Amino acid sequence: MAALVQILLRNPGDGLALALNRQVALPRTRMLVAGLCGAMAWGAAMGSHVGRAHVWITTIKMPLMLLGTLTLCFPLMQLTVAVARLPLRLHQTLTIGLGGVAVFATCLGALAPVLALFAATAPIPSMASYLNLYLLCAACGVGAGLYSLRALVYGLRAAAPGTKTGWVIAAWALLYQFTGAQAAWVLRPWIGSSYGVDGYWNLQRGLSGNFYLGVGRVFLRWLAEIGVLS
Amino acid sequence: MSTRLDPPLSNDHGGPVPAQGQTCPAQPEPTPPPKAWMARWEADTFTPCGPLAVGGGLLRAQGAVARDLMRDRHGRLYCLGLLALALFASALYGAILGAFSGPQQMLFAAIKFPVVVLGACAICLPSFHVFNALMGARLNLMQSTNAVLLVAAAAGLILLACAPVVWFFSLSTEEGARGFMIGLHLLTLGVATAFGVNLIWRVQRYARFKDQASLMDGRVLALWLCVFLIVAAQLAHHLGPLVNPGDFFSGQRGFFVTALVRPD
Repeated sequence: MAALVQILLRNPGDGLALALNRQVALPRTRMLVAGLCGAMAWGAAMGSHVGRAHVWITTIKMPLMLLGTLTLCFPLMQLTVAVARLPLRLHQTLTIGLGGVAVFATCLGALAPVLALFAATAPIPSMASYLNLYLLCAACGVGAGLYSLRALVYGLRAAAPGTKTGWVIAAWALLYQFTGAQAAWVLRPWIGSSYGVDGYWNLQRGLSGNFYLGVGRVFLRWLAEIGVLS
Repeated sequence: MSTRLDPPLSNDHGGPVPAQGQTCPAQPEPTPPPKAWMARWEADTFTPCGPLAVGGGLLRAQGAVARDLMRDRHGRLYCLGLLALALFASALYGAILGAFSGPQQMLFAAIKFPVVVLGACAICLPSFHVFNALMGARLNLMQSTNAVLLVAAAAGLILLACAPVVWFFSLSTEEGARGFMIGLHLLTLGVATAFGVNLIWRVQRYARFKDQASLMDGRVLALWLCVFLIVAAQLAHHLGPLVNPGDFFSGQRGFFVTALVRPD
């Protein structure tokens, strides 16, 4: 597993070509395991701010979120491939998608010890540290997302050489981000409430809520706070 | 199977060797002339005869140590030697950090300071390895470990050298001049860190000069060094106090910048 991930990180084109041509045994399983390990490490780091049972819950939730988002997006990803007339079969699209998730999760996993240190030592309860940690997570997520995007670009080029894949990548990234944000929203809390350490799990809310409406409400409140809206 | 990951072959002078059946390019790109320190490093020779000899190599034959790191020679030996050196130096300097506040704090700081140094190395090692790999660098995990430990061990050498002077000041300075002692420790730690950072930076530049390919990525290294210093500062703040008297571990949460801006 480590060797495939190493190649995937250093040279995603070669790594995904190896996986697509099945030159390594069980390539998708290896990438899945790498993705799970990285996501679990990142989840544990996020949960370490509140600690106790929250660590275990976020450790489980993070891989669920990443792989659940991939599962939800997969049909539409394959549809875009078909519309773009790329010669990709289902298993090839799945391999490239899993490669992207593996790179994303590995990057997050590599940064997990740093996040864990700051999460575990940040003051609690404190809204400032809560927001700072979210900012740190978002910055790490953007960085990891860019590398993951690079892996997708090289993967599609390896699978369909000589074809234009730019808008397919853009559609995949937009779709994954759009769905992933909502998945993260319904599975919240991640870092955990700074003001109440109880209520680790929000299933009692029935996985409800909408990320985009939530962001909109916060934006409107901010506009009201600064006096733009009455 | 050969991939682009394979390290380029090099001749004795570091120039790339053409593969069999290939012709040499007509006009190879001119290599920039080596700097004076690179020429010195080229002449360095060193064979580590044991983990404890690694410190000598770091002082007298940095070029040879850098070449061993680049070629992954004696990796395990270097790892043990660098780890032992970093551990010993940080424990000794930790004891001196705490010496100003009595024997109990001396013992506490001698335990806590190695945890800060090696803990920061351990926390930052995965990001160093993964992000260098993402930029196409050729380090394996052992080389990454040794590169990270190199910073700690090189800084440890400076701390060891400064230890007697700082210890003398700790013993002879009166209680009221705690600010002076903290300033002196910050200065010593700053110089030691600068030495460690400079050494790893030179290793990176030397590898690029020697192999025409990057062993580590310069941008990743610069960013990583910032993260490493922030992590070390946060760990020291969390495990502290090191100089002032206090409990072994208070478990108090907080960001080190807040403590710098608003010292209580």
